[in-house]
Amino acid sequence: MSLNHTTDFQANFRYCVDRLTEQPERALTEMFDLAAQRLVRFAITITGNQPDAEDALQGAFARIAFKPRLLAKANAPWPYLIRSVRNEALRIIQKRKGTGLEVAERGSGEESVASQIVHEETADIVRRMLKTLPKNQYQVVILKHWEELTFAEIAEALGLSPNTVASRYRYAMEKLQRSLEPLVR
Amino acid sequence: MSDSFLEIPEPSLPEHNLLQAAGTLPELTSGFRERVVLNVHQQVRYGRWVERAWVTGNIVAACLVVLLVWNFRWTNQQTPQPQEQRQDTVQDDASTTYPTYISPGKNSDDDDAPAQPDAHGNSLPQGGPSIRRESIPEMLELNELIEKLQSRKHVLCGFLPYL
Repeated sequence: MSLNHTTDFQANFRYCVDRLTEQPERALTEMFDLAAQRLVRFAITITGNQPDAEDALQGAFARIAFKPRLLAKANAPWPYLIRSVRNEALRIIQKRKGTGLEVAERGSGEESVASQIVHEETADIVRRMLKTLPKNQYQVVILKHWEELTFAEIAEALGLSPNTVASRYRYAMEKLQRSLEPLVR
Repeated sequence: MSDSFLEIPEPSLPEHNLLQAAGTLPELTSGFRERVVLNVHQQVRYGRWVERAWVTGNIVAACLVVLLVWNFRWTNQQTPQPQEQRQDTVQDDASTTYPTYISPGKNSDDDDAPAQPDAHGNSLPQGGPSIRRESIPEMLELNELIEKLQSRKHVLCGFLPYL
């Protein structure tokens, strides 16, 4: 993911946010087209499977559609949207626990992700290694490398302090560097 | 670490490149986009409706409060009136609802006086023989009842319906 690509994404996302109060339906539709796959990818790290991740995304968009001003007035809209999706994903997990249904275990999530990856063997190995991380470290690494957020933005998205985020990232990278060493050579 | 002002990028290690390369985007389920877009449209419309209802409710509530305060103050100003004037008011109201009622504040000599002619000079029709209110106990009770009702009307800010 190049820097230009990220800059374009952020500019387009900002453009959608600016039009939220005037044309909420159109702005949200364009926002969905722009960010849905990224948000589902992030939500999968919490729910462990894609259907629940999509439900979380739908819930987050419904909440924002009900009150578009909340997102329009947010200081950092992209981390705010990520946080909304995260909250919805956690709510879905909680509901599953409440109804007695088991949350998708890491293993089943691994299988669903692995089944989608056919061509990139290396990427598959990296993902597997990522999944061996504790969940809170995993989310930080995903947001840092896949969404290219700053520590401050990750802290905003996860509701943590920037120092906590930075230390989780450091621990995660120490583990990953050891695991990825054979691939790097 | 990076510096946005000096445009210094973050150091990119081989591990970082591997991690970024592994971040492929998932394929969304077919029909998911349509489902979300439809839901978004519904929620936007519902949100607008709720917002308008909330604003309208607030305006109505504010108007009601202003009306109540104004009415309460108005009735408080009306209450401390002299006794004679209040009795006249009773007589006026009563005359509209009870044609045969005679005010206690009215002089009894007026009953015996001849009727005044109207604007065209015709004499107004006379009723039966004059009734002395003081002599009829039912009229006294009726008078007290009307005064009680009148005082309740003041207490309830004039919202008591007319009989």
